[in-house]
Amino acid sequence: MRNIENVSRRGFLKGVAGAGALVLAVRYVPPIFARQPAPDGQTEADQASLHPNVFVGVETDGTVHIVAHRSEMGTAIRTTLPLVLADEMDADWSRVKIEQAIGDKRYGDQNTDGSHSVRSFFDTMRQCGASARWMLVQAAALQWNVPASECSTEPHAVVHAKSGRKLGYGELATAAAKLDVPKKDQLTFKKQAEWRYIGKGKTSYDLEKLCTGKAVYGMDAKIEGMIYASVEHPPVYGGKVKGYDEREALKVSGVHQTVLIEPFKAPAAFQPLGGVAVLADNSWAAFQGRKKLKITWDNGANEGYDSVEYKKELQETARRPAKAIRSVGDANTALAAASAADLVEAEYYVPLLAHAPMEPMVALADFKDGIATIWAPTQNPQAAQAIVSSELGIPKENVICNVTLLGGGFGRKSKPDYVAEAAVLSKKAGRPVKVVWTREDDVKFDYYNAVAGMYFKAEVDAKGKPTAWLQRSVFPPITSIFDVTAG
Amino acid sequence: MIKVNVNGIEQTFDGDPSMPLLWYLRDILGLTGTKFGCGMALCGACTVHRDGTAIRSCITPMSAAAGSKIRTIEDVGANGLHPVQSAWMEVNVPQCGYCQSGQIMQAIALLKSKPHPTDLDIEEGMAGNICRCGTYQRIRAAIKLAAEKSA
Repeated sequence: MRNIENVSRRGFLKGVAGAGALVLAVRYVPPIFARQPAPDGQTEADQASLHPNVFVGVETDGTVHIVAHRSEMGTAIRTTLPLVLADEMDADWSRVKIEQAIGDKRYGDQNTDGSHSVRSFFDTMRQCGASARWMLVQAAALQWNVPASECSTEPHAVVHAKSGRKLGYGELATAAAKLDVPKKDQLTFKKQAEWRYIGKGKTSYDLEKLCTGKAVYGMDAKIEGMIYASVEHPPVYGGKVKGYDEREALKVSGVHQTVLIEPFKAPAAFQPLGGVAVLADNSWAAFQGRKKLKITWDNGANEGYDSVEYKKELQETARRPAKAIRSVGDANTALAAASAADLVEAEYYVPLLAHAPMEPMVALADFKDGIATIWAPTQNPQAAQAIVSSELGIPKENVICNVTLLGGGFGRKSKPDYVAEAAVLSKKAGRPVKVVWTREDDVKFDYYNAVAGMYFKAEVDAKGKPTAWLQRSVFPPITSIFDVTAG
Repeated sequence: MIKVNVNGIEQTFDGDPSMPLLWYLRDILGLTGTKFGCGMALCGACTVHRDGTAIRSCITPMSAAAGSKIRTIEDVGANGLHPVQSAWMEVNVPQCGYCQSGQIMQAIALLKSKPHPTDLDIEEGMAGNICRCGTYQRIRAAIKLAAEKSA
C-alpha cells in the first residue's frame, strides 16, 4: 500500500514543492477509504488511487517546503500535518514554508471531510519526515566516511558527536538527493519523548494573518478582469427556468449581463442547481440586479414537498416495526413482558439543518484557452476538478483548483456545486467570474443534514439502567444525492 | 458624490448611495479583511469603526458613511500589532478566523468604552459577533489580557 520513491530523480519535480533539491513522495491509501467502495458520483479522491504524492522538499539554503494537501477550515490541519513531518525530519520549524496543494490525485485523498486527517496521515507524514532525515544522515555519513549509526540530528543539522562535526540540512540536500529513498523497514522513528513539536502547543502557521485581516479566504480571491455574479436558483430543488425577463436587471448600475444556467440532470451530485445569474462590477450590484429579474419557473417533481407532512410520514414509519439492522438478544420479547412502570418511550425529530459556515459559498473561476483555473474555499479540490471537468467538457488535468482558506466548512464545502457554478459562468461570460452566495442562498440551497424521525422504547431497571432497548430511525439516505434509486 | 475617509485616506464615491459600506470596502477599495457573513447585521463579521464606534458595515449605506472616518482591520495592524491583536495571538484565539476581523474591531471598541470589562460586559459587548467555530472562551480571555496589558 505504501511505496516511497525519490521523485526528484524521476522527473516529477516540476511544479512540486518549489525548487527543492531533495523531494520525497509517498503513495498512500488511507485505510478508512481503502476498505469501502466509494458511492457513485464521488471523486477519485474517495477512491484513493495509488498515485505518487509529494510532501516535502529541501532547498540548498536550508529552506524546507512542506505541502499541506488537506483543506484549512479552522482545525489547523494545514499546520498540523506539516508539523508532524517537520518533527520527524528534525527540521527547524522556523525554516519551514508551508504551501497549499492544488487539487491533484498525486496527493492521494484530499477530501477534508470526516474528521480523520490526523488519523489517516500521521504515519504518512512521519514516514516522509523520517525518510528525509535518513537520507540526510546517510549523505553526511558518506561525506565524513563514518558509519551512519554514529550520526544523529539536531534541528536542521546532522551531527557526528565523536569528531565534533556538523552539517546543515541545506548543505546536505544535493548529496542526499542522489541516494535511494529508504524502504519503510529501513526507517527509524523518533521516540515520543524526542518529539520537539508534536503535542507541544505550536500555534497555527497562519496565526498572524488570521489576526490582521490578511488571511485570504475564497471570498477574498481576486484576479484581474474579474466580474461578480449572484445566482437566482430554482426555488424548488430540481426545478428549472421556463423563461425570464432581464430588462429591469440590466438597468441596474454596474450590471453587465445575465446568464442562464441549465438545471442539473438527476442524480444532482455536485452539479450546479441551475437558474439565472446576474454578472456585475461588484457583489452589491449583482445582488440588486438579481432582485429585478422576472423569472417563471417549472418547479418540477418536488413542488409538492411538504415538510410538515414529511415529518408525519417519518414519525409514523418510525412507530411501525421494520427490518432490524442490528439485533442483539431479544428486545421485543423483553419489552413485551416488561411492566408499564419500567417502560420509557420517546420520539424525536430532527429537521433539515443547514451547515451555515461563516463564509457563504463562493468561488472564482477563470476559463481561458481550454483551461479552467479555480480559486475556491473547498474541502474537496479533486471533486471540484471532476465536476468542473464534466460541466465544461475539458479533461480533469485542465482544471487547476487552488484551495484558499475556508471560513468554516462543516462538510458543506466538500460538495463543489458552487465551484462548478463559477466555472460554467466564466465559460459563458468569457471572463473570470466570482460567484458570491448570500447567506440566504447558503441556508436555502445547502446540502442539508438529513431530516430524521426516531422512535425509542426501553425497559429500565430500578437503578435507571436500560435492560432492553428498541430504536427505530427513519431518514432519507445521504446517497440519494448520488443515486436516484437510493433509499 | 460621497466623500469618506477610509484608514486615513480621503476617498470619493459616485456609485449607488444605497450600496453598503461593506461592498465598497471589499469590492471597490479591495480591503477584504472586513468580511461578509450575513448582510443583515446578524453576525458581526463586517464590523468596522465609524468615527471610533463599532458599526456593521453590511447594513450601513454609503450615504450614511458620508463624511465620516472609517477604520478597518487593515489599518489597526498597519504600524505593528495593536495590543488587542497581540492578545489574540498570545491566547491563540482564531480557528477558521473568518469572524475574527469583526471580533477584533468589536473588542477594540468595547475596550475603549470599558477599559476593564467584566465577564458580563464582554458577553454583552460581544454578543452580536458570532463565531461558528466557538472560540468565545478564548475571545474573552484575550480581551481580558489586552485590558490587563494596557492597564
